[in-house]
Amino acid sequence: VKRILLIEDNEMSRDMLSRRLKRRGYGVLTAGDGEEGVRLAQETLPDLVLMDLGLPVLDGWGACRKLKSDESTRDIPVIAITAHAMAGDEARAREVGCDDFDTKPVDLTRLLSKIETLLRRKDAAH
Amino acid sequence: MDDARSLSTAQDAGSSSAAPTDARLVSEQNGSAGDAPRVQVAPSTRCIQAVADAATGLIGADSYESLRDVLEQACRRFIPIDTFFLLAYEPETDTFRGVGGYDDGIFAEPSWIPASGTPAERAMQRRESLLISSADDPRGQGAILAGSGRRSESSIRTPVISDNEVLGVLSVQSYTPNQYTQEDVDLIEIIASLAATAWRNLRLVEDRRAAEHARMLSENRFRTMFEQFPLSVQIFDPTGRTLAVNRAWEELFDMTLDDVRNFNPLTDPQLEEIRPYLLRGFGGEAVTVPPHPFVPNRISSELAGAAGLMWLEITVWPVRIGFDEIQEVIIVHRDVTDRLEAEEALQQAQAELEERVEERTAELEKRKTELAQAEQRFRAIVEASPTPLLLSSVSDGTVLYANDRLETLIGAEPGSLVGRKTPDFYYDPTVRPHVIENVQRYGYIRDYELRIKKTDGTPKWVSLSVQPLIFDGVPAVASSLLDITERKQTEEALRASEESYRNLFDNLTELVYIQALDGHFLNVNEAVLRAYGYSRDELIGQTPGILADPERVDIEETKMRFLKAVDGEPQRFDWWGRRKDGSIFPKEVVLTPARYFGQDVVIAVGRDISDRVKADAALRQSEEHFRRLIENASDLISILDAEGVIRYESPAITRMLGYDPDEMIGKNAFDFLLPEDVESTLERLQYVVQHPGESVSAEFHFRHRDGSYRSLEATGRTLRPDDPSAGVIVNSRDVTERMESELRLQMQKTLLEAQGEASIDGILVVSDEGKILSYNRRFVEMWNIPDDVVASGSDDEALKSVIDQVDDPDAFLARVAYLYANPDVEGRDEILLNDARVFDRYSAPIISGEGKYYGRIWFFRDMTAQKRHAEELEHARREAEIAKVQAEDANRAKSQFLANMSHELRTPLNAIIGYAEMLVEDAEDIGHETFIPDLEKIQTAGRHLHGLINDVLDLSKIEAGRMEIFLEEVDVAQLIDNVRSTLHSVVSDKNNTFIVEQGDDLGVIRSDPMKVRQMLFNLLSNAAKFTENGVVTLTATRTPEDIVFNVSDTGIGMTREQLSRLFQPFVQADNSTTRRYGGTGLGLTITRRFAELLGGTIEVDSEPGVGTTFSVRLPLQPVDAKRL
Repeated sequence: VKRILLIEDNEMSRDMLSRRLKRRGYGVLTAGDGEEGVRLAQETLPDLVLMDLGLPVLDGWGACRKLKSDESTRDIPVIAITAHAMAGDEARAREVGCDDFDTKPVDLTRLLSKIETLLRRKDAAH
Repeated sequence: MDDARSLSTAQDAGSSSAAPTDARLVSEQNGSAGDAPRVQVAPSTRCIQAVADAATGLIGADSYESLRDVLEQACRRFIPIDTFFLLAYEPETDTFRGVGGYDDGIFAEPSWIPASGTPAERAMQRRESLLISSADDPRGQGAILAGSGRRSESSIRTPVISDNEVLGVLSVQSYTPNQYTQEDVDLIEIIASLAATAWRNLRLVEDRRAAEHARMLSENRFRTMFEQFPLSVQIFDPTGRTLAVNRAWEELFDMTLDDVRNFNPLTDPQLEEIRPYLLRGFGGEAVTVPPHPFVPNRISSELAGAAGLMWLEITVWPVRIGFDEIQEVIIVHRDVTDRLEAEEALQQAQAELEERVEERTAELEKRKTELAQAEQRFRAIVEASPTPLLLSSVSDGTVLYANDRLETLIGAEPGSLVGRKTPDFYYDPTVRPHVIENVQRYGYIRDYELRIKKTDGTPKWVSLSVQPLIFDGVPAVASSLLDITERKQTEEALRASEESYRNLFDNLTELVYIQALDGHFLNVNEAVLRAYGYSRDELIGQTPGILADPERVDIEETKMRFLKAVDGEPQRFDWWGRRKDGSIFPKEVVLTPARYFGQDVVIAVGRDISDRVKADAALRQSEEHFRRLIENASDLISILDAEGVIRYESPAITRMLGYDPDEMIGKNAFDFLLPEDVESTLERLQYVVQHPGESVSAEFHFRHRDGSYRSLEATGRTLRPDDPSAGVIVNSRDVTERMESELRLQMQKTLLEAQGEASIDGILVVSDEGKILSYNRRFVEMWNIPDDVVASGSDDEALKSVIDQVDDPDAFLARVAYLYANPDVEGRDEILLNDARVFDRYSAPIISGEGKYYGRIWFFRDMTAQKRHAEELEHARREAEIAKVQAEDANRAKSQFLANMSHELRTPLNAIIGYAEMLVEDAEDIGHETFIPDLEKIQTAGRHLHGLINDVLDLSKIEAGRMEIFLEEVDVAQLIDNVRSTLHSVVSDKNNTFIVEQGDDLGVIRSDPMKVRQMLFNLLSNAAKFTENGVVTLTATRTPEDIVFNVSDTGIGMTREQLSRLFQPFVQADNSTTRRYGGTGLGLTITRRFAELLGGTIEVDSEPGVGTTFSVRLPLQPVDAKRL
């Protein structure tokens, strides 16, 4: 079972996405802010991280930068998700090391395909 | 000396005599005794020798001592002797006096020895010598012992008798028994007889000497007394000659006796004054002369009194012996200066004392009178006084008097207070000592506040003043008591009020500031200190500037509001505070003028509205931006009710129609329409009201404030799609412009006509001879030329009458001369007049068809108003420029707001769509297929909304200037491929065929692939939307400069008019299409903006019923990507 860490501060979004992912057979961990998310990632070393960018305490860019600078979590793929459809958001997300980017509302089909792609690429690397 | 040797023995040596012998015996034994110097002679010879020796000595003896020595030596020459006495008998006292002799060389003081019982007495009584040879002989008992105390064995005692009187006893003694014989006795008796004669002589001598001594002594005493007498004494003989003076006299007069030898008091003229006294004294009467002054000399000056004079009292004593004539006169001077001065001082003191006593008495009398008067006055005042008054004795506080006011105050029966004690009236007895102490210390009391006890025991506050006085001769105090109970109660209430105010003040959660009229803080409450983190000391005296966030607060505006509040107009406004730590917070402030401790102040009450601000931020921003959107829109936006009554007009109405938005509120819009337009427009309005949500257009003429009518093109719809009662919103645009050009032509024509009528210009026609041929009224008015001048017909005269009005007469005349001199020249210039008017002067020659010169025509036009108008116009243009810039700014702000809002909307929308999707999946899983269509409708609506929001967001970003472009190398073929696969299902949806045609040479361009993709999405989905059972074609071709994308469809197409509005936001070709085809109406707008951003263009070609083609041209390399 692939484990996905979902870092999302909006309770409804978190609930919804985590349930839909579970329904599709993923193990889902959730965190409500960037700091908690980084801590959980370091403790549980999930297979993939879904990262909202507008997070409290530590925002998604900061959290991603931390994950990517930590030896143990550096190889975990991160997909940034944001309600900001600003073009700059994606660029900034990629700058700090996010592997892919998607916008809200989540188009589940599209997101699943991105998840599958990254997980496959990760498996191949191993 | 003899005295030293004269021994007065204590014991009679004769006690040792062995046997009594008589004088005869003594003489018989003569010469039988004697020691070393002793001469051994025959008794007879010895006797003769002894007598001879003794006689010689005895004759020379002038004292008992010498007598005794002579006798002893005579005796010792012939007989041995250890102890020798010559005892003188004093019959009065029956005693012996040892006048000489010594005992074994030991001297004894002369002393008196009782004679009774001694051997010497026995010899004396028997008148015969007594010879004793042993100490055991009884006759020797009681002998006087010599100084050694040793008893003699042998002795001879022979009485010395003269003229039958026993003078004394001669006694010789020896410590050897049986020493003396009868012969020795005889010898002694002979010597004794000699001694008797000498003794008698000696007694005579003694008496004379004693008398002389006594006289000498007396004289010495007198002399000493005289000399030492403290008073000056002068002794005169009866004739006035000075005999003696004492030392005091010499000192007093600084003279010696010799100096007054020739001075006679009885004749000296200096003593004239006291002469009578002196004469009486010298006449035998003791006289005392009254004191008289005397000038002291150098010695006596120290005795002088304060006046430098001495006062002498002289006493004159005549001295007589018996009753005989006067022997001497003694004058004594007594210095009485001190006494006199003392007496004088005493007298003076007494006189002064008496004088003062008199004065004092008089004063007392006067005082008494005054006091009596004062008392009378006082009584009158007291009786009439409206102040409660009390007189009481000092001693025990007994009430002496109380006026009726006091009785009323204290609640006593009239007259009942007199005789009572004031201590009874103190409500608090401990106060009375203070009162008394103050009276004693200061002599009075003023306004001492205390409580008295009324007769019914209740307390009353009074203000006490006390003044001591004498009342009816008794020390008393007058007390006035003012009833201050009411004031005290008021004060109490005030204090309570102040206290509660202070509590309230400090416990208020609102921030309260008391500010003086110059703005500085007089006080602030605890809430302020808590809110700002300052201490009270740091704030008092400061102005609100210290608390302001300079970034957000316009201090000048705050001051202005403060001044308004000072003027009595309470102010309420929002404000930003800055805490001591630099953090800031919003607050709402209310300024109210007030009184504070008697001072005009402004009370500022502030409330931290951070929470409200946060909560309302979005809302306020929203309202603000919408308002700005509306207010700055170039179109006029109005809200009307169903009858056409105006509820709102956007500010554009001022520019468009000249009205103030506020003045229009409440008026009916139809009252402003051209009457012909009313009916048709009213129909449109009714249609709108009856069809909520539908937009309806209308054209009509609206009356401008200046009375003209403007052509307006308007679109109206209900404010809310579901509730017509909320009103109708009308968007109007001025389409008068094309009308205006016509109007201007009309006006110009009219102007020309008016010119022809010479009504605007002043016109003057002058012949070649200088004669006025013609002029119009305007000319005369403009130049203010008197009628008689123009009537004269002389151009010169006319010139003279106007020349003074011209600013530059020389230039004016020069011009006239030049033109007249050159008949073929036309001329135009401006003339400035002294009164600031400006005339446009035009002159042309009048030449006939044959070329004949007739003269000149002059036109004068007053340009003053035009000039001013031009300036105003320029000003208005600049204003409009500024307004435009402001409107653009506002538009950007609006877009920013929309971007934010879109973002906020998307988050919940995300949940709606997501949960709907999940429910569809759930429904499929559990077999509730019937729910699925409804759930899918939720999804569809959600996605539509999502698209709307995205479009709004994009457009907003574009208009806010925040749409960023990211240029990169774009493989055009790959991009088209991507678009085709993504949109294939969408385009093919309504049974359409989707054709993509592309050249092989598309290659790579530098552009923003996301934007290009979105443009193609928009155009393709748009084409699909309006096309059914048709073809949608996408072609891409490359030219040397750019790439051209064409999206064409075989759909419904558009009219020209629809095309003209195509790229405006929210506008679709027809309002009805929105309902039919959906969409936001933003897609094309965004597409065009993107094209422009990327340096390209977009064009459209369409024919209704045939189809539409959009062409997008993008440069291979954007030279100057345009930002909007």
